[in-house]
Amino acid sequence: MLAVDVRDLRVRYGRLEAVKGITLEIPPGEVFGFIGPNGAGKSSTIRVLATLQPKFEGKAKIMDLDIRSKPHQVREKIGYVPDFFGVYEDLTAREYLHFFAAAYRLPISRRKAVVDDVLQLTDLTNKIDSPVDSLSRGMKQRLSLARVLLHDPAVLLLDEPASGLDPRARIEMRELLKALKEMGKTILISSHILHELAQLCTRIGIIEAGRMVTQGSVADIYRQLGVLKIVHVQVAHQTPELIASLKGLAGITHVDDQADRISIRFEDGAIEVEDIHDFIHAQGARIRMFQPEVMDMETAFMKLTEGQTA
Amino acid sequence: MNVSEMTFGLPLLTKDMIEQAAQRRTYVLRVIYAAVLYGAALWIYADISGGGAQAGVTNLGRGQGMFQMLVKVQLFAILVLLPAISCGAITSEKERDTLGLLLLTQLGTRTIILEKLASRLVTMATYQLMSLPLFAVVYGLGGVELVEILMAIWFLMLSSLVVGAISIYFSSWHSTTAGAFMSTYALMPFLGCFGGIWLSAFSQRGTGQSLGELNIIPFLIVMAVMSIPAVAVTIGAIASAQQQLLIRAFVPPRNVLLEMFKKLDAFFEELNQQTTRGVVLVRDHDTGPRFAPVAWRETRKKSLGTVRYLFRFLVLLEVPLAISISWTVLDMRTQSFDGPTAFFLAVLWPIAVVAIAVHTTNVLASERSRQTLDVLLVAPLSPADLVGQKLAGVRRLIGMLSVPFTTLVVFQAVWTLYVLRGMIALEWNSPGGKTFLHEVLGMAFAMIVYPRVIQWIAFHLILRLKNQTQAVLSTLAVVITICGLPYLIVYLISIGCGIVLHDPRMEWLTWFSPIRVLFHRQIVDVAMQSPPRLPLPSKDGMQDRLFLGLGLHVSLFLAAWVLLRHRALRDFSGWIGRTEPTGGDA
Repeated sequence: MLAVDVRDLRVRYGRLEAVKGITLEIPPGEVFGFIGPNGAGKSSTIRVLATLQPKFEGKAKIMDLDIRSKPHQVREKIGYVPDFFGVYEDLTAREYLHFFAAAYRLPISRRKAVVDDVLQLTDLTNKIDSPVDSLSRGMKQRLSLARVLLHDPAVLLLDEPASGLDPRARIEMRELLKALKEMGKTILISSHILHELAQLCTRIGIIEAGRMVTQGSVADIYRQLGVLKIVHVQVAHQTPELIASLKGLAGITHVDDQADRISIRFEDGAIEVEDIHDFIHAQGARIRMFQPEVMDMETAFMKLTEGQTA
Repeated sequence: MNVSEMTFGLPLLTKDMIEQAAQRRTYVLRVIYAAVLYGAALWIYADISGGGAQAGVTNLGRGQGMFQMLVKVQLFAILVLLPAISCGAITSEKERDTLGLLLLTQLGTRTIILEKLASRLVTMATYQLMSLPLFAVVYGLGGVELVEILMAIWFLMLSSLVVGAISIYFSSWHSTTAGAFMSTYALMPFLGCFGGIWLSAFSQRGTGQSLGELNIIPFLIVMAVMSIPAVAVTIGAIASAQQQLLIRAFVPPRNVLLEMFKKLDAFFEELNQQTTRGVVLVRDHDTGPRFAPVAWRETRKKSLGTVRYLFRFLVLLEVPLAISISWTVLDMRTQSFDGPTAFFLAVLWPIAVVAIAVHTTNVLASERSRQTLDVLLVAPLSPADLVGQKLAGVRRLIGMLSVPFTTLVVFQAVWTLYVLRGMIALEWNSPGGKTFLHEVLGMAFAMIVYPRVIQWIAFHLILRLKNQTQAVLSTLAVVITICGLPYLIVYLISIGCGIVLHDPRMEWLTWFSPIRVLFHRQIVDVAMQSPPRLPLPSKDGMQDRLFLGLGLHVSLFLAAWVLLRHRALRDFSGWIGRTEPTGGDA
């Protein structure tokens, strides 16, 4: 059984086709990162899964429950955090959580214990009687996470939960998500903060202009990119001949002669980093710095997408 | 001048004109305005030409009546429509957080205010231009001099300036469009009275004189002097708006109603402390959200949902009502069969309609503005459960409003049965008895059903319109249409077909209007005392059909209540954007 099963999903807003046939399979317990530029179709996809987008084509299931035919059952299985703070500011944190505990039909006898648990998990116990209005942005977002944990959903749908948070709040949010991952929750998270997704997610999917460009583990995606690695080199007495000979070396795709270094991009598997080191040395150059680097997520993202929206 | 120069010479004016041109509302309002203006003109024309049966040379020289009507309709339109167009001019920038950006540009506060005002006056001018063909007809009919028409145009221009400037001032002062609306419209009755007096003063100056006969210089001086108050008010409002624009640019929105109730709370608690040393008969006991959390929030956390604040509202309505009723009972000179019920109904119903419309539309509008709707919709509550709980506060409000209405029904019954029984012998089978029974049944029915119908109309509109102000105004427009349309249709049919208004065939149509149920006796009285403007059967026929008509009305509005409720629950998810089961396996 898949936790999230989406096949050929299409979403239209009038003439605009925001999602153009996305297929997605997320097994239980996986943390799936959804990456894409603004307007790529991430939120539309998540809204379909959250039962908030009635008009769509294709198949979408959560825990084997079809969203079209069984949306009520699906709502009991999911926890949805939108990309804005959906909190009632006229309530206290306690009232807010009890409000949703009642909305999710938690037995009255269990509510207090559950509310205490989620507050502890989200580190908001000392704010229990504070008006929601008085909480910081990061606290409000943690309160939103506490809300979705009340009914112990199997799947969490988090639409850019870290957007607008300061670095500390972002780190706290990441630690919280790691804790949820360890609890075995299936998490579908969209974000612009790519390196954080790389650390957290077991798999990522890159979406652009309504289409899934690629999906797989972080390592898979690097592999799929073809040009994955880069090495920064500083040599004493650099000569134009050295640059020319590097460019001619099989497996090297690009040599960038920068002011303080030479940046060499090469295909993983076509040539090893040690071979490049040996080659430079063989050219008679004296190496001051040799720094291999895995292409970061942002570079991968920029390479895979062209900044288009649907 | 090329296009780019035209576009960027007055950037704010251009932007606002483009925005207004892109809004469907602009065209809808214009069509409604044209329909009302030309409908009214047709009405007056039919009146002066004797119900359409005569025309031609006999109408010559009779344009004065139509001219007066045109000016009054235009003045009314300025008072009603211009605030609706102008109140959002600055507040919409505040609500969209774009005012700060405007203030950072090279545009000064005066430029911002003047361009905003100009954009609204241009729109209003396009409305008024629609009356030019009618002025031509008036002039063609005769009886109106060119001087009068020019004066009327000048008067209307000045009125637009005054109302526009005041609307812009309140738009600059308030942080929300709703607040600006309320303040501006609160002022409109006074402006209407002032405008009426001013209009009559204007009218007296030029009547009957042709352009050639006029001593132009003294006339212009008099006109200029008479225009001074309007110009002064306009300049004052613009200057104040300019000043407030900076001072109140970033003032956060206030819940004035809640603040007022809180002040009243403090006052009553202090009073209670001093008089009873703090005795509390009914304590607020909040058990928290246990079984119906949405209803709990609607009735515990909303200012118009809590018992305490509803009680305050009730006191505000009931105390003047009780005093007036007591005064009526004690003052023997006012004793008539009617009693003062009609007056109270005429005051209470508009209050009830506005309160219900505002509260009903607020239940979804507040969720949208706080961005909490999605979070709520994801909870596993059925549409019926969600809607039912969201409207819990409105149901309480309707329950509270039923108290003054019940007071009126009981008062009317007691008044008719006991106080006046000595004056008029009341037999159940007599016309008086039937009328009494019909009235009491009608009022009781109205009290129970109309608020629910209004609630569902408002709910339908807020589902579709998204914006609360639009939804409230649309609800009021629908209610006014339901009340007035049957009478308008009857009148138009009577003009078109030459049917006498007394004809019983026409009477049944009026039973579609709540006005007929609420003000039956007054309509009959007015119709019997004045020339036949309203449909009225013979007295015997009327008594026979009284209960048949009421039955028709009751069936119609009960069906409307059930249908509106059913459709609201059925269409809720579709309009709000929530997936509901499509297969049979849910």
